[in-house]
Amino acid sequence: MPVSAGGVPHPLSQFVLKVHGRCDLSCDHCYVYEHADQSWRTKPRAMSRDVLRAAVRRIAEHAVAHALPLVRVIVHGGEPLLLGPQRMDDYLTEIRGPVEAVTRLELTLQTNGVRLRPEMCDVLLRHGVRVGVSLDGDRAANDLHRRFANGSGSFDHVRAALALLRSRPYRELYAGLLCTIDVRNDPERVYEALLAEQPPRIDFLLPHATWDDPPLRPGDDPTPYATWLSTIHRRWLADGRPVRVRLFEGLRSTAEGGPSGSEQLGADTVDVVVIETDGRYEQADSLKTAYDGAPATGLSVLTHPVDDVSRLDAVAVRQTGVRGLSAICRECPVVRQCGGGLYAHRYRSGHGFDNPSVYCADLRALIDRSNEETTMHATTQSEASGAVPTDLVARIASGFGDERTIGWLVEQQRSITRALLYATIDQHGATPAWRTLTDLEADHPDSIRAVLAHPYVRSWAVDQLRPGSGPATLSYLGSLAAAAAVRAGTPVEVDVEIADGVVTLPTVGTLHGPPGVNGPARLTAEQGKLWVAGPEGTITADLAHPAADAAWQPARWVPLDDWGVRLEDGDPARDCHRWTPAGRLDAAAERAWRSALTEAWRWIRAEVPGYAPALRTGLQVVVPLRPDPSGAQRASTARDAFGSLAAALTGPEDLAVLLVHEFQHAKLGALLDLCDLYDARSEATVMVGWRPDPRPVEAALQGVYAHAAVADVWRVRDGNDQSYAKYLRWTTDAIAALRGTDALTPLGAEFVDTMAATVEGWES
Amino acid sequence: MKTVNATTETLAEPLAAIGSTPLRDIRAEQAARVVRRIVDKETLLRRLDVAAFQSAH
Repeated sequence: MPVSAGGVPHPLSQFVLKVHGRCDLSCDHCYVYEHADQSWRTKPRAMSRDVLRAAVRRIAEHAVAHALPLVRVIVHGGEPLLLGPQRMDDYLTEIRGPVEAVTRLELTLQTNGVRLRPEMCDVLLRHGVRVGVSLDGDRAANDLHRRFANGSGSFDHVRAALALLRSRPYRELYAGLLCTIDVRNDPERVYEALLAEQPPRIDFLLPHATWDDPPLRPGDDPTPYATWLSTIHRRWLADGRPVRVRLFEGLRSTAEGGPSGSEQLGADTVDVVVIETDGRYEQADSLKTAYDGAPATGLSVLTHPVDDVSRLDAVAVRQTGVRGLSAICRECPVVRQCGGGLYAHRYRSGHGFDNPSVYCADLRALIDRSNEETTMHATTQSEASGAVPTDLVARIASGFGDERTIGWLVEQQRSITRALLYATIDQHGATPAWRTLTDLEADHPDSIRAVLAHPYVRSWAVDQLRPGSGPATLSYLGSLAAAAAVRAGTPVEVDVEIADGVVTLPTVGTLHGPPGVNGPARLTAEQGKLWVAGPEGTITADLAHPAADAAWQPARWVPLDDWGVRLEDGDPARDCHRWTPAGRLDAAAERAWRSALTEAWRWIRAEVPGYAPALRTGLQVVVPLRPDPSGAQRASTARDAFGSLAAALTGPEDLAVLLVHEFQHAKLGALLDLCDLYDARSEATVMVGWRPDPRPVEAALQGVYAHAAVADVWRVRDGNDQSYAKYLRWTTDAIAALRGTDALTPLGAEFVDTMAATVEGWES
Repeated sequence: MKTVNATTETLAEPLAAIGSTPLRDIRAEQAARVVRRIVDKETLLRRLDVAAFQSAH
């Protein structure tokens, strides 16, 4: 039994709650039932409510005593889903109340997935639990070990669970896959099978072993685990790191001197404690592989606070990093990356844990190879394969952005739209219009590219993918296919939807039928003519002679020097700007918009030409909004519609300011799509001049970036104007407030510093 | 233009692959990664601050 060091208690922030002690699978590699420690036989089948309450009380007390900003509770077993939905609901409620009253709580659940059903998912969703599922690869790999007691494999059951976790209502539950390695399995097939389940993360687990009970090493390869993992590592790099793999990210991080984030690697502080079904504290589960009783502490939530666990020698030694490793490890050149491997894997009878890992040779080979492969991959990367322009953040943060920088952002946005479009089909199933669209792409890629550049394709796709956003409406695909076909001059026949009499062909034009008509329709386009057969007859349009056809409104192009924007007044998907869009423009309204935009562009070119390249490169569409009844200005940028902005018509001087202001939001939004400027988990808020309420960090960043540009306009327009003073004060105050939070990432701090330097430059 | 290598802290690497792939051939896992970032607002920050318990999260 471990002894107490008697010193100062350490904070422990991860608690593995064994809510159920039995499992519905009989995997022969399970450390709980099949390895040295057999204590499960004497423990209750499930954690009682009294034990749970005691455990939660101890966790909450510990969080308060150490002012923990975050506590992670891992709901575990056995198989935790054996609790059933009702009891799971009750238990999660018991956990959340006391802990959330004192700190932030992250709840995860690790399961074999066999019993995952919508009813259970609803419970987990309600409590914000993220779900990790164990899967060892393809059918052959998984069912090599993960079998029921009758010998049948669990693969199909697990895949059904994963399909549920990929579905729109439950996607946010999906945390990742845990794969236990068996070197007899083909690594590439395992990798591909795991990837096919689209997990947010994968973690590979070396099978638990000790020097007393070494791992399987078939064949002549002295380091088969390194060989196996390196095969996947190379494939993962070549594939563009399509999924996060904790082991590989840990290897990369430790190579750069950072932490590993994993028990298997590095010398990070280990701050995990397990609470068994009977309330006894135990050390990490993996110790069950060492010897019977290895994880035991002799302490219980019923009688001891968490601090007593943290004082135990066996726990304290794992707080000391490299110093706590064996002498052989401490002298090893890769000790900072390896960290001695998983604690349990160091065990040898008579020597305890004061040894290198039984996987020492594999870890050394894996580290050397992965370092080399990562370096080679990095040096051969080009911009086309995902390298980021070195000065991207600096150029955007300066407030401007040249054509090349913004052009690069535009390309990223196009790829995002393509990915979301594909994901929509992956989620909801292919339609004939999708097949038309993809067939067209083979022969007319430029037409597809032009249509998918329409800003509202992304906002439509996001609506189809967002949980809780109602039934999917895939008819928009028909509109996209029709638009692409018309652009390509090729005949097409697709299903579309009439919405209040309107059928839009993004980037091409809009067919306006009788208002009030809604429903499915069949669109045919051939030789410059359109026919839309809907619920109330057929509407036709002659695209070659639009002026003679009141039903057909070609896309309105407003030329502005060497570029131009489209006035979008037809696409129903444009209604994502908070304000109600204006309806179809009449001739007078169109003239007014053309004039205002032309004059506004002249103002921008004359007053603040530094903002012109970004607008010229990125802005495609302006959506007229209904005017505010009070005459107040209205303008908006939608985060999921890069390349567009919406505004109510106003005078050219004011419109110039609105264009500059709104497109700043678009630029920053595009940057935020690609990288984190702030910690999304931060609850920091800042006071800003333009709103009376405290603002979250992203809102403050967006506001200050846009208002800095407005200040710049007013500085040039009239340097002593009150407007300039007001916007400048808002900007400088908000920059100071943002710097006062701890929410900015290093990239975010760089962004704010560059923005501040721009503003300070005005004053000098 | 000078470039730096994409890390897991940006979305640029999967996007590069998607941008050059025909729609029907986009890989589901690459698209899923974009969905998690754009729709689900998944953070790109690598959280390796503590040695996380060895489970799939």
